Amino acid sequence: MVDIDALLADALAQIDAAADLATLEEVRIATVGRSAPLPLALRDVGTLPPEERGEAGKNLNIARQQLEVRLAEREAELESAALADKLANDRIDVTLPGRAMPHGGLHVLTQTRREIEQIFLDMGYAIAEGPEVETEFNNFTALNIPEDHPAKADSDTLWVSDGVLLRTHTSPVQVRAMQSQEPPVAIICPGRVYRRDTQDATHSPIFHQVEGLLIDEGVTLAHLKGTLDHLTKRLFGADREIRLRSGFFPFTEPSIEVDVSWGDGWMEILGAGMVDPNVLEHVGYDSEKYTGFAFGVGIERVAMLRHGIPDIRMLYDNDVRFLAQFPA
Amino acid sequence: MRLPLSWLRDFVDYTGTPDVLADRLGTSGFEIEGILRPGAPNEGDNHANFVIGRVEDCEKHANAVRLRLCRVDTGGDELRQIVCGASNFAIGDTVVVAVPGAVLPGADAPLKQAKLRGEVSDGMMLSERELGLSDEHDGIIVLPADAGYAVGSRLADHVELDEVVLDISVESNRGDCLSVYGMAREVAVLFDLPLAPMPGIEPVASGGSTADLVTVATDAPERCSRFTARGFTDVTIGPSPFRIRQRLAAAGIRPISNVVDVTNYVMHELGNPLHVYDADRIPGKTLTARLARVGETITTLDDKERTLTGDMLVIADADGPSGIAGVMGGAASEITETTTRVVLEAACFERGSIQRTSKALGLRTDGSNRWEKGVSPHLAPIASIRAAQLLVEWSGAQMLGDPQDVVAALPATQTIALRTQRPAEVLGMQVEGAEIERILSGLGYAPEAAGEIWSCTVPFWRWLDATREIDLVEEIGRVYGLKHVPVELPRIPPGLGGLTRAQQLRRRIEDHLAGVGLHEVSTISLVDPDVRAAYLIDGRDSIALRNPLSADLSELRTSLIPSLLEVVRRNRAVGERDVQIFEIGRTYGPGGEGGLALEQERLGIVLCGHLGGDGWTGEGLPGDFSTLAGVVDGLLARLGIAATRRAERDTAQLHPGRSAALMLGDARLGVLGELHPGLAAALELDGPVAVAELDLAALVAAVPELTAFAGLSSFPPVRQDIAVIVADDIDAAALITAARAAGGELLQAVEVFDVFADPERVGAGRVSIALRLVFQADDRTLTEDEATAAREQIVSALVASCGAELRG
Repeated sequence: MVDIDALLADALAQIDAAADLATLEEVRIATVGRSAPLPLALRDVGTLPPEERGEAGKNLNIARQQLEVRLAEREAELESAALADKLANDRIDVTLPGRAMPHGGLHVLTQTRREIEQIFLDMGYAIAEGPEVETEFNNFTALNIPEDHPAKADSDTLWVSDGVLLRTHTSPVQVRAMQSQEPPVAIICPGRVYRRDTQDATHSPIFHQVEGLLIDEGVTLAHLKGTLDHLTKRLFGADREIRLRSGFFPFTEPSIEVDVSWGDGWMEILGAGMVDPNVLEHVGYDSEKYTGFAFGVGIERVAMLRHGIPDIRMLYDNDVRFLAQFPA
Repeated sequence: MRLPLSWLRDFVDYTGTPDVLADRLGTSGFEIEGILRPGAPNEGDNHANFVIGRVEDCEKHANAVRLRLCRVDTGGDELRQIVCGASNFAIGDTVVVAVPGAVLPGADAPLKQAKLRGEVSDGMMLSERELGLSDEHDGIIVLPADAGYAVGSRLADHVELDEVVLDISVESNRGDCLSVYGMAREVAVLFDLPLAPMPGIEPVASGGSTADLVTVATDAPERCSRFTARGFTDVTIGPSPFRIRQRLAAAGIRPISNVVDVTNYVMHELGNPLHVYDADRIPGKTLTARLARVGETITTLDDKERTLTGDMLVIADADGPSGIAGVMGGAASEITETTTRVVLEAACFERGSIQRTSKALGLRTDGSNRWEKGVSPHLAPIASIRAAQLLVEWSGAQMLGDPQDVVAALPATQTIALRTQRPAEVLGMQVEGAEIERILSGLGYAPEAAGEIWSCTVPFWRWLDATREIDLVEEIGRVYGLKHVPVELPRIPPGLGGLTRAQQLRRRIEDHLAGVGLHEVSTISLVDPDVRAAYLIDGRDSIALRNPLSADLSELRTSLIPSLLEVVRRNRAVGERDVQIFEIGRTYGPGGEGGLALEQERLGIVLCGHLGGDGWTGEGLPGDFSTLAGVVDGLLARLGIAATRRAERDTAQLHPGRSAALMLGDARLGVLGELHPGLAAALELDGPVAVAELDLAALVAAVPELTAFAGLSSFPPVRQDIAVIVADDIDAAALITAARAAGGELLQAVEVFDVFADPERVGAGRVSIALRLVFQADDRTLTEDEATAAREQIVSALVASCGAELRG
């Protein structure tokens, strides 16, 4: 009878010593292969005296199972080491730029407009739009702007024909909205407007405005102040203050100019006021029952202030290097 | 409006700082353009260095022809030696001296004792320019001898040497504040200070009558509602008092002569423009306000001959126009050095008339500017009295009796009822009743409480802008202070707000295109007809402006593409090769509602150079038709729109073989294609440039409202590939349509996966198109045989309808 313990110890030592998968395969053949000592001994169990057969067979089987488990373990170890070895050599420069996916962006005016829109959408306003080629009536007359007002002159307004012009503000959208619905009205009117201004760093014949209008019972100047305070804090930072100055616009009374705190001083950012009763009566609203406020802010101005853009013309030059600076 | 604070203090005793005054006015309806300090500061008692002197002795400088050596009494023990280059003075003249140590207006360093050609000069005799009074520098200031300028007295005792001037922009509705007195009224009510009465004490008239010199009349009462005149004799033309010259200069008005200065002084003080005539140069001794006759001419005070129209108001004498009413006087009746008799006109002209005349002539004056804002006819007699007083004081004139006052019409006095609760209802803040009364009284409304209202009388100077209750509410708000208005958020009724579907989809489109690599741009919607024409668009549908700013901004665009190509050109010019852009903007054409323009929102896309790439991994996608089609297809897929492309060969701007209409059924969503190479070359754009222009409204309308679930098959699909050869004018869309029609229910998808045209392999004029057919059933696993049967049906259909030939 073979010495099972010695065989087992020798085989386990060979398995542990196998340094690669090929050697391990040789060891497998040498230890549990058809002609290895252990299987041979198991085959010869039948030749043993009957009283010894049971014990010997059992011991030999246990030994073989031990070997097979150890072989499988060793194989897994060697496979894992081999993979680690291979991966260690399979590396790339992870700091290289990625395979370039195209990436564009929204124009900074769109970003700014949406930001203003969102502030008012959150408060429950709708967004109203209207034509840029407008009637003199909607742009001036309905807004209480007198017949001989200098803003109507050829030097200030771009005219298409008698009574037809390029809107000088988005207020005619408010007029159209009021003509088509009963109060309450809570809208903002973003859009493109036109003035006969020669282009320079701060003027453009075309620019964009967001005007707002709230008409309801019990709307006061305090509500306007609160709304504009909220707007400026969200646009320019929670630490900003606003200052109201008395102003003059034909379509509001009282009219105010609004400054936002800026460094040690103030920066004028928008015009506003309580909707003039004449404007309400023009669209058939009862100016005793309803009051309202309106305001207008230049999108370019807000964008330039927020981003530190020095020249309004950059916004329309659309230099890709400029556009790429404002990814979101 | 320049407001010298010394002048303001004639009427209201404001003792605070100029900054506080500027701040308060600045939030109460006036824009402060600046705080000017034209004089010499008094820091370090600088004013002690400016004294009145008398020239005691004067001789030629031994070493300089143009200089004189003077000995001047400035009140000290010894005479002061001063070297002077001026020659307009004589021994005994009273002059203004700056002694060493004086800091002159605008100077950085103090004046030092100097040596001029060997002679010590212990100070300077000053010209008006050196005192910041005027540009006059030919001679020094010589003061009248017997006017109380004591030798050795401080100059600051006689004039406002450190004048502070507020430069104020007055809103167009507050013409009453284009005057020192009007501003004083505001300052008084803002700071709760007493206001002096309006200035002016009528002089005692001499024996004669104004009618000895002139008779005034108005033939155009709607344009000249009031015409007053006073006559003066014994006028001595000369300079105004030094203090007045200083004050006018500080107010930005050039001092001219005592008589002319009176008109400017009173205009600035009270707001009513005035005019003076040399009474001996009024032919016929009549002055009549009338419309000019067409073609009449006049030479105005600025020596320009002007041709008048029938819409212009003139003041005419017997020979014709003597002046253009309210705008500028005529040269013929101008005050000269020899004038001794004067007619003073204080009238009231209608604002629109003056505005049109001033504009038509291109002639704006301080006077016309005030008339345009509207001056009350009640003001003329007040201004006339004030001017008469000053004429007598400054020029020694005798005033004639019987002043003339032709009144066409005076506006009725208006009253306004102000409900006591209305200010709070509009302003959202409670103002005490007593404070409201104080404010309204201070502004001249004389409020009288009557139950729940105040009855307010509109003062004459506010006749145009204060007509309603709301106007009084505004006054209360601005004077009480807008800083007291509380900060409150309104409660907006729910259900009004939010984005419309079109607005949401527009944002989705913008975000998608930015996400696939395009930069959104914003271009000007006014275009140059030449740029439009260069893009081969005729001007038939273009809306031209009547008064464009310039030729390159003279019409509204009818397409976004020329603007986008200009963006590409500009970027190319700064070295940017790859420009992929889009814009959602409007185009404008005829046929809109109510006679307005038809404004269409469009999506324009331009690809030029490579999209993405441009790095170590490769070049990215070429800016050609296929990439553009991919961008458009991707957008449509994102929106759930199943549109198709139809080849178009006759779009002048586009490559005839590489352009397509985007169709949704029979409706056209837009066009896309590569720029025609000929046009690209003409526009100096090399390489393919792909452009698309889609109708945004049509696109938005095509987006399905709600997508229903289409089911998911749990049985595997079977894919079969075929390749067919067809004539090259059969397009892929035709094959796909035919395959879908023949494929029956089992055909889930048809995809093109290979296209090539190789004359040697597929024959000239023919193209090979490989299609992947995906078959699937909802209820069973398809057998290979079923799929093959379906495929063969499709092949037969392609052969029959498209002339296809199956490739081996």
